[in-house]
Amino acid sequence: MRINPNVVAARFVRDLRVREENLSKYHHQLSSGRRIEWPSDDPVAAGESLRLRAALREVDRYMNNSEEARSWLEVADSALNEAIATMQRVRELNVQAANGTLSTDSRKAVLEEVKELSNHLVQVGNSMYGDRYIFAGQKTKTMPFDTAGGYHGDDGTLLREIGPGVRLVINVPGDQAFGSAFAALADLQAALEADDVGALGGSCLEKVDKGLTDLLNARTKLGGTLSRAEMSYYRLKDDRYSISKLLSDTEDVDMAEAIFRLRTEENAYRTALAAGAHIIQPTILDFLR
Amino acid sequence: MESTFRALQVARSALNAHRKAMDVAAHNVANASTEGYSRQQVVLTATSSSSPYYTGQTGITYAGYGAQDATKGAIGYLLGTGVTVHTITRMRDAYLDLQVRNESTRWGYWKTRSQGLMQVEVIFNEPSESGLASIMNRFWDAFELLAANPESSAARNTVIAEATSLSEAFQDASRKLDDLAGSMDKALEARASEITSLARQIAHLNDEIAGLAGTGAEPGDLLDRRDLALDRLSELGDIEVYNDHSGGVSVMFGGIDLVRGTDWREIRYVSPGYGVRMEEGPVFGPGGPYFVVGAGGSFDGGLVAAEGNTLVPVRVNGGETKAYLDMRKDYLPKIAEDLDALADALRSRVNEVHRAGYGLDGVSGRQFFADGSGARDLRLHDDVALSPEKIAASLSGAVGDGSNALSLAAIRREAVCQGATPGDFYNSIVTGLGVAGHEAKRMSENQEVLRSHVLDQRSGANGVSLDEEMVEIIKSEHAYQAAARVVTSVDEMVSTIIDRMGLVGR
Repeated sequence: MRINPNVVAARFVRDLRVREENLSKYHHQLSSGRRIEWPSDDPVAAGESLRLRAALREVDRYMNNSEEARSWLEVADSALNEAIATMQRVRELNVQAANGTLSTDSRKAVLEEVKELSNHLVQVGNSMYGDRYIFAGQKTKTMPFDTAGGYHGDDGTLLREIGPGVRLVINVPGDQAFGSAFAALADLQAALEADDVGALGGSCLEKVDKGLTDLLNARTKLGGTLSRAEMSYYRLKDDRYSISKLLSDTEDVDMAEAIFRLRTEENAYRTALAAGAHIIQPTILDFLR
Repeated sequence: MESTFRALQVARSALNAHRKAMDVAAHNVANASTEGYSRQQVVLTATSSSSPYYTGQTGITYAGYGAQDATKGAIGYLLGTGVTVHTITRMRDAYLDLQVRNESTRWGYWKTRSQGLMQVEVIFNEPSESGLASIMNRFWDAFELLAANPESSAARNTVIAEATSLSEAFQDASRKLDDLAGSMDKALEARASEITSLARQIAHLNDEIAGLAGTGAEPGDLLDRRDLALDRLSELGDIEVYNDHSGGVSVMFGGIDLVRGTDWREIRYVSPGYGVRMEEGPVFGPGGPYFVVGAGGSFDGGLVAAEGNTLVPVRVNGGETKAYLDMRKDYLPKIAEDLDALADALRSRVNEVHRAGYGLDGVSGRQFFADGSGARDLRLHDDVALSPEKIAASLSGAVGDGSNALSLAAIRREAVCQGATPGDFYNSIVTGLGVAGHEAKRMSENQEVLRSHVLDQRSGANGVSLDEEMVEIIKSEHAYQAAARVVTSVDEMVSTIIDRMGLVGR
């Protein structure tokens, strides 16, 4: 092929332009830390990146939910512990009062204490998590128990999603947990006022025991859920790490590799400049007298 | 007896010829960087004598000289009479031109397509935090948050905020795609004008060239200008060039006659959706009415050749115009359609699930998104936008229940859009775009290399080499100087006769 200086110059410029484009690309990769700027850079990786980002966001949400569920359940657990302790004291008093040898005055004292314990139980039943009642079923803005122990909540379940389609029930409706306890307290107070020793030793004690049992069951159930929430949190944490790593592998530039490429390209650029400058300069005019 | 001053005549022809050779070399040097310039070369021929010289020897025959003259004798020799410029040729290889134009057509196509697809990528801006994918993720996440906090006005306001972001993102993308289509229409109009202008130039040059054809000279510069116009035309679309007998060229563009001798046609662009039908009968178009000639069916936009009131469709098969047309008529509408489908699927399914739930006011049957069609129309229903407490998070009606919000968030896993989940459907749009863009980039780079190669070959064949021209100039200079010396010599010889003969004893 016949080469003339125009061709030489054109090729030189073209090759330089390619070098400059590459330089710019590697430089941009380094300064942005990203390997993919546009989907056309690497379509498959771009699709992966979108998928992983969605997954990451979901995992974060589930982790959040697990944490929140855990908190909620711990509050419920502690409330139920308090309730159980209260009812255990009630049982002691019940047994005491059922003893036929107790005086009327002593029985009055017991009544007073039982009244106090009943009020306390109402307070515990009206425990809150932030600004929401935890034992009111789904009517979280309504105080579940009135002073007489009447229930104004519902029996709805509160759900928290800790995985795709995986939902935890984090509550026990108030009447399921406390209902029988309040019923027992009402009967107990009535029996104490009536000095009905027979009832005190018989049906009252049975009802108090039922109240305790229901509270214990509620605590056990929520305790199990708490374990699940904890396990799920740690599992999600691992998942999050894996997804983050995959995402970084897909999207991010390998710094060492990018620096290496940039250096290589810089050298190539300098070489091209030097070689080009060397051959485009001399013409025959330099040699004619 | 021949003329004494014969040698002078010969020298004079040399002076003329070499001066012209110098002119041509100077012209080449002056145009060394002119785009499309083909170097010119002078062709010198020796001129032969008008009559042979006779030896005076009779009786001898020299083979190959024909009959002798009885008195003058055999033919001795022919004496040359100098040099003349036979012609000035233009160094141009038609085959290389053909190759350059073919590669240019392909290059024009892929380069334009690559740029167009990059503009679409910019519209979608993925992968990034501000792209539609991230916004959709945040939208589902907001419902998840609401599910755990249905009583909270902060959570509800977050849902409104993210839903508004989502709506705006869809509307924005839709609008930008429309804008891009509009700018492609403008680009096509500009290209159509350019094609018309080039056609006119070529026809005009044909006329000028034909005018000079009779003289036998080759109008190099006019031919260069015409070739330059043809080069640019080949970038715009697929062309075929035929030489006609009067030095002109006929050009076919996209399968129709664009230039024939001194006649040329106007090319226009009709945008899709203009409703121009391919049948005989008055149809209205820009500056209309027009009659469109062709088979039955419909003409959905493209380039047309205009002749008075008639439009003839031009089926371009390559070049910049084809790239624009492909994007404008196929690619952009498909992407816009997909975006609309996604928006419609979201709107309909979200509304369906939302209707089943209850707001904080205990009312159900409400819509989340307002009625509409397509991405352009995706927006919140006024009910919900003005009163976040009306968002139907609850399924039982109780304020603490967030299960409907959970169902709304779960839509992200439902195959609501043409058998795919919203995320997967959108991903496939983005990946498809990436694949197309990647291919176009690659093809564009390849074509760049191929085109550069044939351009170099052509430049090598046609182009001016300053080194060569300098040598030519020196050659001519020396020849000129030598011829001048001949003149001086003859002058001295003649002055011997004039000044020094017949002066015996002086």
